[in-house]
Formats: sequence, structure tokens, C-alpha cells
Amino acid sequence: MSNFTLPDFYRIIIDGQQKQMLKNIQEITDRVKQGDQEAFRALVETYQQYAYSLAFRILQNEEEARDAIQESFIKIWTKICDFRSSQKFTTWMYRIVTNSALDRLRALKRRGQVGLDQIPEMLVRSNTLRPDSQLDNKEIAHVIRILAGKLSEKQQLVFILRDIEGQTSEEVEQILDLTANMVKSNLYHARNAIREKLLTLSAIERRTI
Amino acid sequence: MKDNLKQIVKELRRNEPELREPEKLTEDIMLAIQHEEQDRSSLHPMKSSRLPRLILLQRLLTAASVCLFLIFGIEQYMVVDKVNQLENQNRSVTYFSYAQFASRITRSGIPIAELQKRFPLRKKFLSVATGLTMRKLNINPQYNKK
Repeated sequence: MSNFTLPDFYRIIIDGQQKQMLKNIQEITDRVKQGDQEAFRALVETYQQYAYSLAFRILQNEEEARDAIQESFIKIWTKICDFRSSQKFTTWMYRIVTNSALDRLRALKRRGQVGLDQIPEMLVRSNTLRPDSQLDNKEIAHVIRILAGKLSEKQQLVFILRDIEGQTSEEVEQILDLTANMVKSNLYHARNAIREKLLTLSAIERRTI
Repeated sequence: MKDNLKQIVKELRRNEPELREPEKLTEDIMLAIQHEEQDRSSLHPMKSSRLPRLILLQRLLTAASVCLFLIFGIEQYMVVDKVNQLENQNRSVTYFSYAQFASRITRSGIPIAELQKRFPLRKKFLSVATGLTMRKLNINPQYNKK
């Protein structure tokens, strides 16, 4: 017992909490599979923020993100039998949310409602680059649109999931159904494109000063 | 610039989009689920009443397709059989004429070179016919019997 350090102690607590959480999720999903609506409510309450966060970052629109997660949770309810307990629930859920959000994004693009050029780029330069700044939803949407808006669909998704959402490469592979190499190359190109965008933005800023 | 990107990514990760009125969204989802369940249960009896009829229809269609296959099969067999019969008839006639021709040549005792001299215009025909006749003589049992 004397060999225990403080980080070890925290790790044990965190591991224990994670195990408990996983056990709870499994119990909840088992109950949902049996048609328990109250268990499903608990599932929605636990995960709707995560789902919303992802959907909003893909769609950059509050209403569309809300609709997308509503649609996603309906899909989760109807397809819960397809969920295997060997899978990670969040990965499975993220896959459904990503697909719903992507369908909506494509529909928006078809209707021409995603106007990237109308966004003021000043927002990025003046407020958001400062560390510890508090951004509201609109600002988050603007930053993502300016930085990742002109990337290809896959590059955008890989960047959002891997860098912003903080998913592991394996999880991104599973969510987007891509190979490890595809994830790597898409991420590489996305980061390069964003760096170039940042360079042009900083050049504009220097000129205006 | 690398640091700049890292900083922006860090800020974006830290600033999570805020879900407004989460309770309302939960209620909306639960309501949608209930509607979904109602729709499913209302569809279910309709499906079960249609089920025997659908099974009957399926079996009838299977029987009809089997009948069609049989008809086509028989028709095909008849056509092929007729063609075979015709071919056999044709073949026997040809064999017979070949045999007659060959027997005449052998009976006349004229050598083929002589025949070729007498009928120079039919030289090619003679050589072909003789060759064919010889070959048929060896393999045609009908002729051997005769």
C-alpha cells in the first residue's frame, strides 16, 4: 500500500468510474433492447449533449443539429437490436449521428443554403484566436466554417472527429467506415489546408493593421 | 502556424456547442419514439391479416413459374427432338448415296485414276467423294451390314 502514489490512486478511481459507467451503459442498452422507454430516456439524457456537439460541428446550424439528433435517436431506438455489447456505444451512436448530419448537410448544400462566403472572417481574427476565449455557438460555427468549410466532406469529418471531438483514430475508422490509411491521409490534407487558410488569414490581418 | 492550428483546435475542443433546452429536446425525442411505436403497432395487425393472402399468392406464383418452366422445357425438348430426327434422316440419305457411289466404283473395277481421267471436270468432286466414301466405309456400320 505504501508504494501507491497519488496519480496511481486517481487512476484507480477513474478506472473504477469508467468500469461502472460502462456497466451502466450496458444495462441501459439491454433494457432499451427490451423496449424500456424510461431506460431510453436515460440514454437520451446522458448522450444528447455529445450527439448535439458532433451534429452542430458538422452542420454548423442549431436547428439542423437538433433535428439531426432527434432523427438519430429515433434511429437508435429502432435499430438498438443491431447494437452489439462488444461495441462501444458512443462509437455506434456517433456513426448514426454522423450519417444523419451528413444527409442533412448534403440536403442543405443541394438547396444552396450553406453560404460559406457570407461569413465574416474578421470573427476568427479578432476574437477566437485568443486563448481561453469563451465562444458561443455562432462563433464556433463560424470558426469551423472558415477553417474547414472548403475541405472535402471526408476531410472535414475526419478533422472534426479526430481533432475537435478528440476521438481516437480507430474510432474514426469505425464511425466513418474508412481504413487507417484513409483516415491518416484525410487528416493530413485537412490539417495542411487549414494551416494554409490560417496563413492567408494572418496575411490579411497584417495588411489591415 | 503549427502552434496556431493547435491553439485553435484546443479552443474549439474546449468550447463545446451548448445545447439549449435539453429537456425540451428529450421530450421531443420521447414523443417521436411514442409515435414511432404507435405507428409500428398499428401497422402490425394489418400485416398479420395480409399474411395468409400473401403466402397464398407467393405459392401460386411459385406454382405458375414451375408450370411455365415445364411448358418451356417440353417445348424445347420437342423442337430439339424434331431437329435430331431430321438430321438423322438427312445423314442416312447421304450415307446411302455415298455407299451406292462407292459400291458402283468398286463393282466397275475402274481405278480411281482412270475415273479421274475420264471425267476431268469432276476431278475435284471425284477425289472428295472417294475420300469421303472410304472414310465412311470404315466407320459406318450400316454400310458394313449391307
